[in-house]
Amino acid sequence: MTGADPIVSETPREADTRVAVGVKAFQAAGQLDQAREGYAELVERHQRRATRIAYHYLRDAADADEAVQDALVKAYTHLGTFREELPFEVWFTRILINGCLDRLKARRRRERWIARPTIDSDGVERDPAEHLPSRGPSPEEQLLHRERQRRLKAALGQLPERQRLVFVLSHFEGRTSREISGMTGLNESTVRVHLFRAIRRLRSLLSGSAVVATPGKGRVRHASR
Amino acid sequence: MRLADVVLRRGHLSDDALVEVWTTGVRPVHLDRCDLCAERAVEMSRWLEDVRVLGRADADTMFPEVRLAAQRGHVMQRLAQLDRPAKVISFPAARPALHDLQSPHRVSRGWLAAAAAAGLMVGVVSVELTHLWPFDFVGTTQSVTAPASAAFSAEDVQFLDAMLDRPSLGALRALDEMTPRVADVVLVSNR
Repeated sequence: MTGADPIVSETPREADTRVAVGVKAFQAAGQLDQAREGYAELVERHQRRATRIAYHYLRDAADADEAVQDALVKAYTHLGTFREELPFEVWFTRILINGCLDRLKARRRRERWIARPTIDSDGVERDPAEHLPSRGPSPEEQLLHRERQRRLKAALGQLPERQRLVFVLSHFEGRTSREISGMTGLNESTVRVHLFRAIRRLRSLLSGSAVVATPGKGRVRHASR
Repeated sequence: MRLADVVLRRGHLSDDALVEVWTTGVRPVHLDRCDLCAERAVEMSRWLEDVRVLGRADADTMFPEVRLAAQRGHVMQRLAQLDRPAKVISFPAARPALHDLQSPHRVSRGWLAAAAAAGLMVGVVSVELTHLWPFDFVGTTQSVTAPASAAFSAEDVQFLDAMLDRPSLGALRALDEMTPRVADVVLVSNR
């Protein structure tokens, strides 16, 4: 392949747009097998990121799994409305977030009538999968790592929904304020305010505990200035 | 530097400003001059990085590659089902059997209508004939009333007549008039 090949130099965003436009064309031509084949590429590229967002937002693995599946199916069926000037990632994440919001509303309605599931001392629902052993260098480190994860998860769970969403998108997924604005429909300055508040709250919730300490580096001091 | 930082923090950067440094990557000049803020910035970025690593690890522990592959499989299966045209299943009873439609012994609708009309005509004509033809009840009843002479006495006959004359049975009078009298039958049979 030569350097002049446009596919070699294209960015992930351009690649997404190219594939999405291709799938759209296949759908329009009735070549559905090829459309699905092309879409599988998009699914593979965005699946993990989408799952992380849904998991941190919904705080439930099974719910997150379903939300991601629904969003991917919905994006495929509505690909005709996708505009090429908008990044596919932003368009798809918006679908995912709307689906997550619907699930949160439905969950709140359910919880009014049904007894709450088992909640641990931190007010976070325990997932049975948490008890499964994870791969790690030693049992002690595994234990410490899991404990830190658990505390962070509990602290994240105490954030208001919007703050949590903005924090996850910005911090875990590395999105800019503008991109988050496009994904959530929030104003850019509002996104920044939510992000700062979320970080301030998290730092205060996690301060006084060895929650976010890098193994081997000792405890991190938290500036409260 | 923000005005609020200059006024409220005596020129030092706020935590929000340090977060912004980390998220935008834009390093203010103050960090090169102030060791305290530079140290705080390092600490903040380390904290944020740790949170990111932990958060991602938490989600990735929940969703290992095997689970993601299963999820992908479910999505592609759902898409294949969507793309497949919907199948309409007809209710078995609603569909006539093919051999019934093609059978040579099948009676046509015209014949059925003709048979029904003929039946109606026969019925009407027979009713008309019944009215026109005077029936001899006496003659027809002779053959069946032979043992009645032993069954009814004259008192029984009078009792029955008296019962029939009661006002509550007036509605049955028309029917009664059409029916041969037991007394008549008895008298005829005694002759």
